[in-house]
Amino acid sequence: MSGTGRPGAHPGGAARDSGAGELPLVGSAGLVDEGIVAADAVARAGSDPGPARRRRHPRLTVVAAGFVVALALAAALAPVIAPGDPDPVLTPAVLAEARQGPSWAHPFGTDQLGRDQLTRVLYGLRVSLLVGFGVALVSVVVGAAVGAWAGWRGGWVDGLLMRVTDLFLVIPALALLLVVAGNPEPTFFGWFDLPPATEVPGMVLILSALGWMPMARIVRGEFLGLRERGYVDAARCAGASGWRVVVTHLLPNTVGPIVVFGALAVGFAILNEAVLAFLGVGVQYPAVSLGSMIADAEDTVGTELAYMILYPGLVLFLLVLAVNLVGDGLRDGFDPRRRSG
Amino acid sequence: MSPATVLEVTDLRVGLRRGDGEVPVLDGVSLTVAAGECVAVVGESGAGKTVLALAVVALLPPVMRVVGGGIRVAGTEVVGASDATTRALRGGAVGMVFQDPQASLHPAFRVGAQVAEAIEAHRPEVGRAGARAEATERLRRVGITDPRAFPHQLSGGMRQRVMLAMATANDPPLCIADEATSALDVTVQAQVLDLLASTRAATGAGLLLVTHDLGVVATVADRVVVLYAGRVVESGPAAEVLAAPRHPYTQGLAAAVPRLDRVAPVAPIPGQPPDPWDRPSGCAFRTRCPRADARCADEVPVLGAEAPGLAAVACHHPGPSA
Amino acid sequence: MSASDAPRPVAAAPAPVPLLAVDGLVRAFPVGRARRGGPVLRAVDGVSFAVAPGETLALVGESGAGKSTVARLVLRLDEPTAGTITFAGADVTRARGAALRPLRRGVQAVFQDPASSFDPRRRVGTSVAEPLVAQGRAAEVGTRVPELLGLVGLGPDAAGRYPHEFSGGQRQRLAIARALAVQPDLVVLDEPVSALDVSIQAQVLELLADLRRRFGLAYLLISHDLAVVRQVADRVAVMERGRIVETGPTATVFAAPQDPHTRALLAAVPRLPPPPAPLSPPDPPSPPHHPSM
Repeated sequence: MSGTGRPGAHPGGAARDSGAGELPLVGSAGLVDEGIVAADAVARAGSDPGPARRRRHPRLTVVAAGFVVALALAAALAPVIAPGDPDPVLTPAVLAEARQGPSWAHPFGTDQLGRDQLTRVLYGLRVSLLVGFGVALVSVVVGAAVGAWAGWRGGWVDGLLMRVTDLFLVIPALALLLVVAGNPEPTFFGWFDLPPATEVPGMVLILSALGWMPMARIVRGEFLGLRERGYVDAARCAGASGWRVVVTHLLPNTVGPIVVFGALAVGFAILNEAVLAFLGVGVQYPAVSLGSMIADAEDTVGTELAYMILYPGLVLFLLVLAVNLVGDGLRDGFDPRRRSG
Repeated sequence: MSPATVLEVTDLRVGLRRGDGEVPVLDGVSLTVAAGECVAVVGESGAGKTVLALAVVALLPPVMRVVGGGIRVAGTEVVGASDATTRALRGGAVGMVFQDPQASLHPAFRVGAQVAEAIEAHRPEVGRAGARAEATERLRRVGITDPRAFPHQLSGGMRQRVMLAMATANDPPLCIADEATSALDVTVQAQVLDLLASTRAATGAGLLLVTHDLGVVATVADRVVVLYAGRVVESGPAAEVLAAPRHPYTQGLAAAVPRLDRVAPVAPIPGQPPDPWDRPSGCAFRTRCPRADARCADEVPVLGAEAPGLAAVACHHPGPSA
Repeated sequence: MSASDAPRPVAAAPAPVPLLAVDGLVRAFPVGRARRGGPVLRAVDGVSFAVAPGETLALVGESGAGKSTVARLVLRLDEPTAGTITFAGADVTRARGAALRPLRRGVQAVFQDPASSFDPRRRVGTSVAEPLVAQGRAAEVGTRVPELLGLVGLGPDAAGRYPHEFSGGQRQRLAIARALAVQPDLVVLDEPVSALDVSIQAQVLELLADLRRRFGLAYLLISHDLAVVRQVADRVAVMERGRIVETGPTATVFAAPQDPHTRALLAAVPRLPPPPAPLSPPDPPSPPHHPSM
């Protein structure tokens, strides 16, 4: 039998269960760890260790959040503010601009085909952010639904849902992605068509399918503990149906771990999309991805053309860092060990 | 201080840091415990009794600190003492038993090993084998026959016995029990109280018993100190204070406790104990006291001296009820 | 606000129809990883009792005796392994969903731990009104909530505050207010005052007695505190290891216990000296009594 059990279980143990340890999706195990620790902190009403362990650097969280918002705005307004065209017709005029370093006309320089890098980075950001937030949203919704149902009903329902979760966890994510992503017309076992992973909706679908499981475990674990609370008994005595109890009492009290997981999932999804694009199996031409930009500029490291890999890499790095800082800040913010009035 | 006094608390003041101010949780508390004597400290939530117990062993949480007064344990001053001194004190000169044995016992170690650890920590000269043997013997004396048991295999009452063995492992002159029996069933509580009494008789230790339960006080205490909102309101021989209390709060408590032998209308004290930051001026009890007058609002009552046959009271209008 | 609206069989004989009747109740838990037919622990092992309208029956016993399990079974928060539970003449042992509605209206509960009885994220007024909303009487919330808060000695502005803003005693009052929302006939009180200070205990007990008088409530009181039971209960049933070992009117059982376990429990209760009379005005000052420096 696997599963996180009640909050308060040793954080280390769960990491082994969640599988998906290959490099691109190594984050999943970490996510379960984070989730367990966050859930632990939320569930335990322990003694206050004193002012030494207060919330750290709330300003940093705000700055990071601001940075993410700024990038999102820039990406959203890309068609308006971009200096060039992400996929221009390759006229001699365009080609003449190739391999130019950063300048006022091209703040991030141009690539081998004369395309403006800043424009491509902005469009690449669109993909990153759409995939990142899309995957986080779907993973949270699906994972929380499964976890809530399993945690509340217990018994055979719980057993069945957890076996399904285990099944998904056992799938070697990278291998599956390499197989699926290359397929331009994927189907669900021949029954119906699926959106291909070469475009954003399909990418969101496949990454979510491989990323909802930790959320399910976290929510189930929370529910197993919350189920025993006095106010749940009181609600049942009041005549509340199971659905009502879950929606009005249990889910709102699980908001902390859910939000934290969601925030951190954004970062992982962005990275996963970039890695897949880097490997050539992500979103395809004409869509732009930061990952594919990095791949295209692989050989420029150490040369005078290094700016071609620097900027996309830097933007990607800062974006994921900012998202993770926001996630950390949210987790600290939800920790009930903060002193309250 | 006579050599037979194991604990002497003098005008102790403890403050709680809150926001950018500090509020008093103990405001001038004095008491003594003599060797072989059991002194009960009685009070409700917010009275400060647990704070008192923690202050004696220098285990106050970081948000609280001693702002005045002194505490002498078997001659050693605790307030302002170094970490090394207080560490030697805990388990050495002072044995502590707290309320929840589940939280105090390590779940992964056998109980015999835990008692042995207490012995070795303060008397390393005994050696590991010697400590183990002694631990087994001490556990046997409190009624635990299997030192190789793990805490989760024992019931609540048995765990408290283990705690007792650990607390008395080095025959400390002073024992502190903070609500040690509150979580136990009545029958088990009776056993543990018996055990406390017999241990005390055997070693001549003094016992500071912190409790909210007047029944426990009546059973084991020689003297009782009643705390309210950080101050001592009445103190004296237990039998007398319980039978003929003179402070309105003590009277109210005694009247409010349900009795087994008869049905009397339970007479509650109106209102509730104040938070440290919300303490009424003058006498803290005046907002709930039927005898309060203007003087009570202006002047903090001072604890009188104990006289033979008379408990000490801090009240402007003390006196037996009816 | 008084007697039940649920249909009750007409009692022909002088003996009143019990409000709640429990017969041969059993709750068994599998021990370890046992499957069907494996070893079980019977937390409740053949318990039978009845509560008449307006009566207070106390279940006493040590921890592990099974009293809280009985309470949960009666409230149908749990399903018994065997036995029957009858409320107002209807068998509710295996009822679910709509069939449980009469029970949910007629039986409410106050639990032991004031800290966790209320959802920390909801305002107290919403929680107190929850039974009304859950039972389709949301329209009454506006009038009933202030009324209920007043009944338990709290002002109407309490409704807008959160549970952590109240003390333990106040939260128990709120729990009582919530229990009374749907005008039940029976209230199950599971260690209602154990977690409270002595002076607050007395207030809550007085409130419970008062409400019982006003509304003709029946109480099923679970307690380990025999002194509290002595004050409050008409009849008492002593439980040991899942069974009732003795039952009868409180005064009788306490004065002349028949069962050895009952005797042991009574003997273990610490005895206090006789109580002083209630608070009175002070003596006229006289020198020996003045507290002096």
